[in-house]
Amino acid sequence: MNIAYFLLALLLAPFFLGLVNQTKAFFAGRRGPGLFRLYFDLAKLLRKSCPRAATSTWLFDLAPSIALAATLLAALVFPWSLEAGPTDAAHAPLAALSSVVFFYLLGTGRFFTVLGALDTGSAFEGMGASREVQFSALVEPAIFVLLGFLVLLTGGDSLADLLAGYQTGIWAHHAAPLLLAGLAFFAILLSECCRVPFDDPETHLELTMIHEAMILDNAGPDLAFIHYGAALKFELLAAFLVAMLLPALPFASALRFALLMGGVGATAVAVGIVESTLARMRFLKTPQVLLATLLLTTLGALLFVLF
Amino acid sequence: MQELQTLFLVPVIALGLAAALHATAYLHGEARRHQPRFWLFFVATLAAMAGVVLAPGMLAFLLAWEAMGLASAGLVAFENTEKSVRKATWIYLLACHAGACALMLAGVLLGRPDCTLAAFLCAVVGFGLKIGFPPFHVWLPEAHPAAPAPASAILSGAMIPLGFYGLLRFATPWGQAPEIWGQTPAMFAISGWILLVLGIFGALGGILFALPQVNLKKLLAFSSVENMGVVALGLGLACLGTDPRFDPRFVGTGPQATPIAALALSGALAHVLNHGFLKGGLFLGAGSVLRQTGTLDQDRLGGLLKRLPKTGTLFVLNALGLAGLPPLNGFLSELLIYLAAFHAIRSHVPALMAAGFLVIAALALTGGLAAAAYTKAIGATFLGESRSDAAARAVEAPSRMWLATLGLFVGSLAMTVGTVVCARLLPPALGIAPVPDALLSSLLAVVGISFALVLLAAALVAVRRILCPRGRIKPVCPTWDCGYHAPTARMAYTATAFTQPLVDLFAPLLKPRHHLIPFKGHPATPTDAAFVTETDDRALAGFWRPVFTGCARLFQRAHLLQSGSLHFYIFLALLAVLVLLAASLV
Repeated sequence: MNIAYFLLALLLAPFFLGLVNQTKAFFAGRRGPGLFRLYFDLAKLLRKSCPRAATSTWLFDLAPSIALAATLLAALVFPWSLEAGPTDAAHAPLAALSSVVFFYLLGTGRFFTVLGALDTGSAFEGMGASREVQFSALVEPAIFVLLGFLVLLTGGDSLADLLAGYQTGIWAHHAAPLLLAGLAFFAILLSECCRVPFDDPETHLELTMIHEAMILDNAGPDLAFIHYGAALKFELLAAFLVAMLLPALPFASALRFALLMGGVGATAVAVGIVESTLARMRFLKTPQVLLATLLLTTLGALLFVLF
Repeated sequence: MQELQTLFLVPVIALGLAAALHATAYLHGEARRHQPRFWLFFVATLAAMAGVVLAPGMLAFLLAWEAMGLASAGLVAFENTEKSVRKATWIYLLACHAGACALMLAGVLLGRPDCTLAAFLCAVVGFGLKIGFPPFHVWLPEAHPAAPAPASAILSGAMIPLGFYGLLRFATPWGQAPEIWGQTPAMFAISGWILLVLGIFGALGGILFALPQVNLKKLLAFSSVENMGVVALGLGLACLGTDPRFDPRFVGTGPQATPIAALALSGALAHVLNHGFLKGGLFLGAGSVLRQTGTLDQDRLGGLLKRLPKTGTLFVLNALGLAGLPPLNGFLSELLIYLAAFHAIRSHVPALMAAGFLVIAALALTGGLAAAAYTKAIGATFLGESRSDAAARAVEAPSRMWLATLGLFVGSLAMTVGTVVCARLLPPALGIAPVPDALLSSLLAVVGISFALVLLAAALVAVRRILCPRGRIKPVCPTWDCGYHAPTARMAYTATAFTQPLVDLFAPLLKPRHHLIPFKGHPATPTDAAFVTETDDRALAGFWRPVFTGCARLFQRAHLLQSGSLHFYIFLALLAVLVLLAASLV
């Protein structure tokens, strides 16, 4: 059953970025490019050819494919149906390790994106790659302390247990740590998906880009892979956030999935609102905010342990 | 114990073979009369390392340990015409002998129930000098760049971890004399926290200092400090997890036992193997780069993946593995330690919970920084345009060089399954609760995911190939540089530039030194300007130099006794005899 949800989620991924953009357009008083713009863009890009810089090597050619493969596998590991409970090792052997594997797969994707950028030898792509590794290195401890907090909260192993393994009553007793963790992960999501205030996907100046700077030289199907991978990563992290905040739901799995997708949509709208109302942060301030996410998650875990 | 010996012999043998094959080509440029000297010390080092692992008792172990230090010092000193090499050799010899002193003291104290802590501390200092626990790591970033690449591969991949072998065998509850540990249960917590703190400092300190290094081998040497720190994290967690004062579930061997110790220990030991294969491959790759270009300065390299495709590809793959990312083996051993930490958090024992969170945060930050350090090493050395003529003229290394690296990489691939085997076999062999079968099959599933990643990536590459056939992928354009027409290699990001934001962020710890040679002359016709930044090992300048100069000052005082007058010496001897006589009467 999970596989059907997985495929559905793959299908929906570009929609949520459209939702972000449409929200931003609403705030700016524009008509906006439409909710399904990314689908058309992807279809167009897939038909185009892939010119490539004379400097680059096979690494540049393969990096987008490898990065997308890693993101797709991370999506496959994600428990879309939010089915918590004792998983049968015979049927889902990966379950016990899925949480770490999930984030490390995203790490592999980033590793190759960065290498692909460096392969072009462009000053701007080097700059983008340098910023990307800096921000992701600082976010990493916050993510894993958060996982530790979820282990503490739910006593579970698998990603499904961690995300949907606690009862509604937990919110009554431990609302503060959960809210802190949610806030921290929202900031992590903005940073990992290269959104304002950490990065601006709409900037037109190479000097100020991070993610966009890394893919300046990509075109055609490669660019389609990269855009789709970014959309899928956004959906994954948003789904992680929503599932983390939702307690175990006594509904049918289809309803749970619908709720999850609704939550992802709400997150997309929230991201759109943040992007419309916040200015982008100075680069030098960013590390401090990212380290603050680590403090928030640690504080959340401490609050949970102490009270 | 046999399992442990096998585990530590595997990298000795594998790296020994690969390094020997690599060295046959690496030494090609050396004068013929120097080559026998390399082989003499090479073989002696390997033999001594095997002796260390197979030594039956403490005395034989110490003898083999000293022989290993001396023989490998001969390897480090191979290119002794250079001053930096001679300096590195001195530092290395000093570290070896200081370590041996501490180990002899430990050997005396071992086995005495009232001295467990003292013996453990001596062992940590003695073995730590080999492993490279901070602040004892000073010899690594000096000796590794100085030694010929095949020797550095052995030093880093196989010899450094032998310190952990000694520690496990003589100074932990799983080696000899476990009953003594049973008598002093507080030692579990003490030793666990000592190893944990050393591990955190080693892992984070190592990778932080690896980041700004421009010398490729120095970067790899600091990364060895990092990886040994990761191993220490696992061992520390295992020590805490076997503390008998906690809930008996943690120490029992029954089906109810929580596998904290088993997971942490097998993760740490598998990481020894994984690091050995991957780092050996990276050092051999760095050696090929040095032979083909004449430099290890990453700011003067670049674009080598086009010119050394096989060496470069293997370097990229090994670096991916050592950054701890799937689908390669370095990820699996870190995964085991993560899992042990999660179990520790779930135990609801405060000390274990705190340790679990610390391990997770340290591992995660280390992983993120390692990804930065290795993308930098790959990017600056192998990608982009060449930043010097030497790099631009380089050609592929001789086949023996990359074949040796390939052999090690095949070993790394085997270690993906090997890590699971470690998790299955090692805990029972060391007498702790085994890893449950369900978790072992989970680990195998992760190996499966790794294969799936490779297959899926291959499938996507095939799709891409169909979408844009080879004929349509043409390197038609120069790299986009903001519309600038003639981008040059000097405009690309250098190794220093790539890590500058992170280095600046951690500047209070790293204390990078900047040298600026400003423009001179009229602003319209300025002379050349230059900017250099260096990050030295702070333990050497900030800790050991004051210690040693302090010692030297102290010994200057003793100079009073060395008057040069024979009468004075005879008087002193007489005085000593009288004092001894008096002491014996009392």
